Amino acid sequence: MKLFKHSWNAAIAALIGAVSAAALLFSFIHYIRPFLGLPFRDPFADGKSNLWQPMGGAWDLANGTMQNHSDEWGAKLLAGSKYWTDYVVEADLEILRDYGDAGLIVRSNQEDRGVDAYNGYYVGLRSIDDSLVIGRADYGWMEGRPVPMPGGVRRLTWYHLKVVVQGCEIGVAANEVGTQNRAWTVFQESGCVASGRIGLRSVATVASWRNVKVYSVGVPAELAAIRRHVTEETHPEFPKGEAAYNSSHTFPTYDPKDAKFTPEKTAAKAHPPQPISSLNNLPEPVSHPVSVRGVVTLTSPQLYVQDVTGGVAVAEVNVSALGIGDEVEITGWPDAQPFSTILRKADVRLLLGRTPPPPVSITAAQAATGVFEADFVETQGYLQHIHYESGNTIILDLDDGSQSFRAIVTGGPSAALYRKFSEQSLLRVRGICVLDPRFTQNEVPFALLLRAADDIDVLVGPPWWSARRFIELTCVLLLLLLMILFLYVRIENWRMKGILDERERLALEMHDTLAQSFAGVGYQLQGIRNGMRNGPANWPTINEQLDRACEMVRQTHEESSLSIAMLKPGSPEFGDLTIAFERCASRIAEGGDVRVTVTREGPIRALPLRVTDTLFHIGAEAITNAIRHAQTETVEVHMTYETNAIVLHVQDHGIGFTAGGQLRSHGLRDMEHRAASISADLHVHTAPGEGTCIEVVVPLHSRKVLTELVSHGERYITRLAFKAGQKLGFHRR
Amino acid sequence: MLITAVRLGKRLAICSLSAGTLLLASGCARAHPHTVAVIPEMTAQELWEAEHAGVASAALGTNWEIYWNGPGRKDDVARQIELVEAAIAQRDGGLILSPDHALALNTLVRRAVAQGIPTVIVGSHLSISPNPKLAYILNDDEETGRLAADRAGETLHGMGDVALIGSEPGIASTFLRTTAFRHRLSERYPSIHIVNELPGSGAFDEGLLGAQQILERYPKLDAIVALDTVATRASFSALKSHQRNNEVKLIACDQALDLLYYLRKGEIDSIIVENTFEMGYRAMKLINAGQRGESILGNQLLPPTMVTRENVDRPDVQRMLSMDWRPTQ
Repeated sequence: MKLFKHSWNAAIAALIGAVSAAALLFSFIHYIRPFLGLPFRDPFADGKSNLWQPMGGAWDLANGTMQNHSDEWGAKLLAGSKYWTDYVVEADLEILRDYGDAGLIVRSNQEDRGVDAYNGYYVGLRSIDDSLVIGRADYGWMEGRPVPMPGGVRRLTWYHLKVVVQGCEIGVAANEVGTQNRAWTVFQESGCVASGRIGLRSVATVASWRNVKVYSVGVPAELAAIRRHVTEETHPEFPKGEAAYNSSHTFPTYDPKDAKFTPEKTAAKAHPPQPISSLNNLPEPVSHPVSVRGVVTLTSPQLYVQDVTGGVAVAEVNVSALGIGDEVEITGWPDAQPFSTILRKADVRLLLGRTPPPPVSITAAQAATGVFEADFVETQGYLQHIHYESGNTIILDLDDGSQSFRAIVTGGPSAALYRKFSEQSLLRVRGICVLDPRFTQNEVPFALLLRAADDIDVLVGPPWWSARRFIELTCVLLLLLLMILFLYVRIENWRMKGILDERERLALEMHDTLAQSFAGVGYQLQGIRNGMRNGPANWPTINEQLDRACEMVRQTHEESSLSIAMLKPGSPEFGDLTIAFERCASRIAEGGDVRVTVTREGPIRALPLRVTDTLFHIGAEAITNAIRHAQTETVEVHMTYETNAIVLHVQDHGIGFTAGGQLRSHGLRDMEHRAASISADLHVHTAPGEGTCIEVVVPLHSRKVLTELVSHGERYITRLAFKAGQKLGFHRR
Repeated sequence: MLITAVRLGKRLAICSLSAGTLLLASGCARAHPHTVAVIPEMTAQELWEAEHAGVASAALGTNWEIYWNGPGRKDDVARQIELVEAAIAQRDGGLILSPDHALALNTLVRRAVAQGIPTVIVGSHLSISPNPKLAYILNDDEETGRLAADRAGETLHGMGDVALIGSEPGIASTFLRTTAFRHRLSERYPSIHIVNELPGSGAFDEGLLGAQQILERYPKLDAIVALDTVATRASFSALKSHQRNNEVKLIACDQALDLLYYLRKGEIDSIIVENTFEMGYRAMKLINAGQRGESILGNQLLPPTMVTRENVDRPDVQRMLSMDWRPTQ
């Protein structure tokens, strides 16, 4: 019992310790998480930028720059921690088109694909009005007053942006790299977004970023340095109404002198464009370069262009300013390949921005024929394996049952995105169909060159009954079984311990009552025998001794009968102490004038046997004392069943006695010992001439009740099982 | 042994049942009954930001949470389909949709209605009849076409050549505008001729090239009617680059901040404005009624307004142009 108590205390101490340690750890993490991951720096140099998460766009790492090859509105690339609060973000950026804008996102949360689908702030350089722009996005856009950028915002020009966020203020410094063209602004919003990630963002333009760094040292000084250049802070105010906006903003004039917005006119060419499909039927040898016109479908690892007749690969060409969806005119030397033609030494002329064409949906078997070489297609297959190659190349091995093929993504920002695709999932992939051995390694008939992770859709997840899942399930079931067995053994131990404890108590009880009674009877009989041996029989004395012995036997018999009745399920006394007290009182008071009343308050509840038995003996002793010694006419026994306790009152209106005086009897001490054995409180309220009240309060601990209920439950289930077994004939007695 | 087995079996059954219930509960998607998904034709465009403002204004003081998101381009139908699918999967409490295509969204809208999601179609019509869970709040596109024809008749004094730019196949609104424009011209202004109808593609560059070719081919063109904002920008840019913005009237459809800026400068003759603010406002009120179990059956047509330099600052016009999606009262 001591050991159990000690281990219980140790468990509580360990629990408190663990909770305290967890609280400390949580507080520590809470304190440091605004700084975790800082300083952050990504020079985009090693081609392994796994820290970024794209939301739209076609992102590509090359030559130390991160480029978005799409003119999608609001393409985002995010990094960092949502717990970052005050920090400085710096980056160089370049806009590759005459329109659109590009910049940095700060304190970003709840991002999704969409133009303003994030909750945070954006700072950018906008070419349409040559301004430094700042505003608040929350699935909508609320802009501060734009600041004119000296020298304008021009394409193919590098700018440096420094964004300082502190409290609810954002300071921005922008400068054209290598010049003195600079602009500053400070933006303030009450009830601002307090923390969030950083990001790169572009709107309607192809753009590049480099040298991205984030740090939290010296933020106040950096903000103060920017504030020195700013006379008035701006707030999120536009566009609320048209009149207010247009009274303070300007838009491009589109005048012819503004070369920036003059569209490139189509000039007559020496070699007019021809359909791309006709490149496969050119007479050999080719004596002059050929021209084609089409839409860019891929820029990395190679440029692909497609018109309504098909696609073509273009090699040895600078693609940095090209974006997916651009309409271009290409003039180059055709190089015939087994299934298609490659244009080499090509000259690319950007014509228009267009919507990328939708993919042609084909089967893997059709793709393997080579008819769709260099076309933008869509097909599906089961994922077999994913390889993470050097240079941020990810290869997905797929199989549709008839053909095995590969899907290849080159130069994307994050390999982590592909870990969500499980083997044996049915995937739909969109990309350029190629039969080039550089990509197929001659192991599969064709490969698809994907633009980004967005080109993969999971149609059906992996089957549930994979070998790994089966092993996992088996382990879980085994663990569950072990836990159940452990619990079962523990409950059995508790039950056995309870039985042994009860047996020990009964042994002591028998020793205290039956054995002592028999010893008393034996003593009386021995006295009779000695008296008869030592001389003539003294019949009056012998009669007296025999009467005492008979009385002892009768009392012992009755006590034993009641005790057994108390413990015997099915007897009226079992579980209902009031019946036991009534029977006990009527026996004791038999033949006398004392009237005993037994009452109860509250519903009868199942009590532990030990409690029932002990209470009964205390009550019986108290009733006996009252009838025999109190000189009372009435004895009142009252049981109260409370929620957390059982209270027994035995009250007489007799002579009483001095509490704690000489009259403190052996019976009273015995009652106190019994009460202590079940952690009950026993109070004696008495005074000479004022009667006596014995009060016993038994607290009911939940653990005791639980243990008892478990024990009862076990008994019930055992009985059920036993009966079932009997019915089925399994039990052989 | 048998007793032990029965005991174990009984406990295992209870444990399995509990674990199964837990798994089932965790596997179910979480519903968003207080979120209304508002999916415009495209975001970051003043025409639709005004709808955003109208929805936000109607939602003030309610417990609705607005999820506003849409494609970045009008022709990105696939993205709009994704967003509607997500709204249905999340069992949003309401859907306000401005479809990018007359047919591609039909199945999803039927699915949303079948799931009991109150749905309001704003802007373009779909071929699904209104029902207690589906309502339409549309711009009166035929009236837009008629207003454009009347303006052409007025400015050209009933005589001249016009080009019609931006009619997009698959977009019911531009088809209705074109038809009504043609009909009104033949009915009231027979001396005004449509010399060219250039289809739109949603791409500025393509529209610009087409508008330039029209200006080169028709040196005596009197007016251009541009049927949406992309066509208007392309036409305006072409007129400026050919320095013909003083002689060719540009009558535009649908509002944008830059176009209203040019209108104020007198470089655009007029803009026929859709009341998307009111559409958003009414749509949100209908969703609210739908959530209370009321029928939202209906087909409301809101009249467009002809905006010129003379009336652009009128309070009712400015209210139509409000883009305040963070209203405070």
